[in-house]
Amino acid sequence: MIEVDDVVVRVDEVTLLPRTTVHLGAGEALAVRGRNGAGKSTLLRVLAGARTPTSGTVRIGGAPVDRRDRAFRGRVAALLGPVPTAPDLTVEDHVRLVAATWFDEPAVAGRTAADVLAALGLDGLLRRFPHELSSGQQQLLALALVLARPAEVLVLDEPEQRLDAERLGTVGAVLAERRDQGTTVVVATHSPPLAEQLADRVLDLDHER
Amino acid sequence: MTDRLRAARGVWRDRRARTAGDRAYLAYALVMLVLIVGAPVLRAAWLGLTERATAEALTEPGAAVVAAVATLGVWAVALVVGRERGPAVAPPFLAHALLSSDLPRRVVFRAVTTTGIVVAALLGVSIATFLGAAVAASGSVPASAVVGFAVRGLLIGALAGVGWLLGEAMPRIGLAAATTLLAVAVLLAATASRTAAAVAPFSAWAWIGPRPGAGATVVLAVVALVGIAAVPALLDRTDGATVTAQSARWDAVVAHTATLDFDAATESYQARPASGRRWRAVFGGAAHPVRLVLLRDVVGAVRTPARLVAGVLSITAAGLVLTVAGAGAGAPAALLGALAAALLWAGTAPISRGLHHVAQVSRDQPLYGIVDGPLLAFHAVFPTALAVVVTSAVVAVGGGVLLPAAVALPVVVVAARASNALRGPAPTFLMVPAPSAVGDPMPLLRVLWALDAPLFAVLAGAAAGTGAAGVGAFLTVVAVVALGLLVRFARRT
Repeated sequence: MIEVDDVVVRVDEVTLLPRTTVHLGAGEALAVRGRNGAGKSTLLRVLAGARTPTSGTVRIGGAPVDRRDRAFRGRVAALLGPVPTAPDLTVEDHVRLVAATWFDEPAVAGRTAADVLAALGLDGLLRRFPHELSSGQQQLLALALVLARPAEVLVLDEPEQRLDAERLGTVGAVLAERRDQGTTVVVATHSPPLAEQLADRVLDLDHER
Repeated sequence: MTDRLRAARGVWRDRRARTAGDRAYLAYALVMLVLIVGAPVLRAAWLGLTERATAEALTEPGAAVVAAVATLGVWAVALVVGRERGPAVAPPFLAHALLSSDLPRRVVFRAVTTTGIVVAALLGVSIATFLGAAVAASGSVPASAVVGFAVRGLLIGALAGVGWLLGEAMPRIGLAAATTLLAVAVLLAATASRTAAAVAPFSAWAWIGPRPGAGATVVLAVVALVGIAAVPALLDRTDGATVTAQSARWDAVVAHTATLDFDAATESYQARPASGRRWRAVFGGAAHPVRLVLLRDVVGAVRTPARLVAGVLSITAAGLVLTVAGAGAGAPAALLGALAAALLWAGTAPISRGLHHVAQVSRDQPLYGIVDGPLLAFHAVFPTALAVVVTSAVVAVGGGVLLPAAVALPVVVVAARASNALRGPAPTFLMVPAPSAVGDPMPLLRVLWALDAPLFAVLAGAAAGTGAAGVGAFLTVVAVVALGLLVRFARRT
């Protein structure tokens, strides 16, 4: 599903991502580890099409990375930072709207949104507006938006941010379930429990340098 | 000012002292702004107002009602603005330090509030004197009448300043007073033909009306003096939490404005929804995307009802101004058209949140299952449709002279809004100083770049206001706005 071959990202003389090669099949989960600045986020941005590598090739689902391409957009769901939320929509509206734009059948969209909201424990926050959420709850909403849409590949940059241990366990379980259903998951994380719960393999970028 | 207050302000001032170079640059920027923007606008306004037809229209009895409605509107706006940003604010930490001291608020905020009221009074006297001088120059009234305009403008401005403070010190009473003033204004406007004579003594125009209205001026002066006398008591009534919040928000606005991020600056004052959370905003699925997006935008807008009403009123006012523009010709029509576009720009803000959100999303990771271009177009449907319907209905009721403009202008304004929302970071070349014999034009260019969308909307309005004569200019602006929109959409990252 994911083929990263000899990818390097460099700006002027600064190397943001050392030469990296990794291949992942459907239903595999990769935890990307490394110190701050090791290149974790850069690798994820390359996978999501938000950054063009200086050299090397990346293919996802057998096709080059291009986030303007409709097939790529449908294949890869990414969470690389705070998601722009709409101030006039509630938590439930946000998730339902994202699902509604991906599924033709309203019933399927509604069920998908409800399942995601329940799985992440957002049931009690359905009628809150974004400015009424704590930072941890905003992170859960961002994850819900990514999970409310169909995807063959999930690319998540530190999904554990601002989550307490219980919520982190919930998120880990939801992502593991997606992996078991055949979704390829790439997670950059500083959380050993999350990596242990989710990852089949670990890519340590500290050792790539 | 007490010694302690003087000492505290001194410490603050010394920390933030501007260098002579900074002061000189600020003065230079202000002079440039006045010369490049202010002077042409004032000249066009003067030429328009001194035309015989305009001057006669300004001195007829019906103008008294218009002036009264405008005055009531200004006071209402001052009261409402005070709820969000009153005259008594300070840099956040200074506000915190002073509010947590035992110094009375009438002392702490006396200087800044006095400055605010004086500025409001000066604005009032300047505008009224300008109008009076223009009418006198046309020969419709004697030159001595200008004094009357000036006095009334001063009093109306001072009262607006007091209302500004009242809105901050007593938000609930301020809102009730604003609502009452607006209701009276609407009533006056609706019954203009019957109330003209009764209203005349209470407006600046009474000076040139059938009755001099000296008594009314005295009443106005007494009310203004009572208001000014109440300022210390109002300052003591200001809530510390309100002042702190207003100060913090204003500080953020100043910071955003300094970096030319006007979107973020205005966002600070956008009402957050607190009602309608139980309403469903999402109906259907991707098979009917227009319906899906339209309903989402409608429900989202209704969740901030006061903002929505303010937006619709602003759009309605744009229609009224276009109607008046249709009755004139030349410079005033262009100015009125520009004013209509500015009102449309402001009025479409509350109904364009969906458009703005999707523009933000389109620069981020793919979130929605609908491709960015069509999704942006779908989100433009609600603001465009509402603005076109309201504006054209008002213009049609008023005679329909500029009906094509009433249909086309809202479309251009919403397109300019979309272009504005898609604006990325400033081009690098704008950040590089370019010294020349007449100074560095880059700061001005940066401001123009940051404000290009509303400026083009206003230019489109100026062309639309002149009717058939401005079709060429209007189409040129349309082409520029469309090109800008396409380029920004293609370059979004």
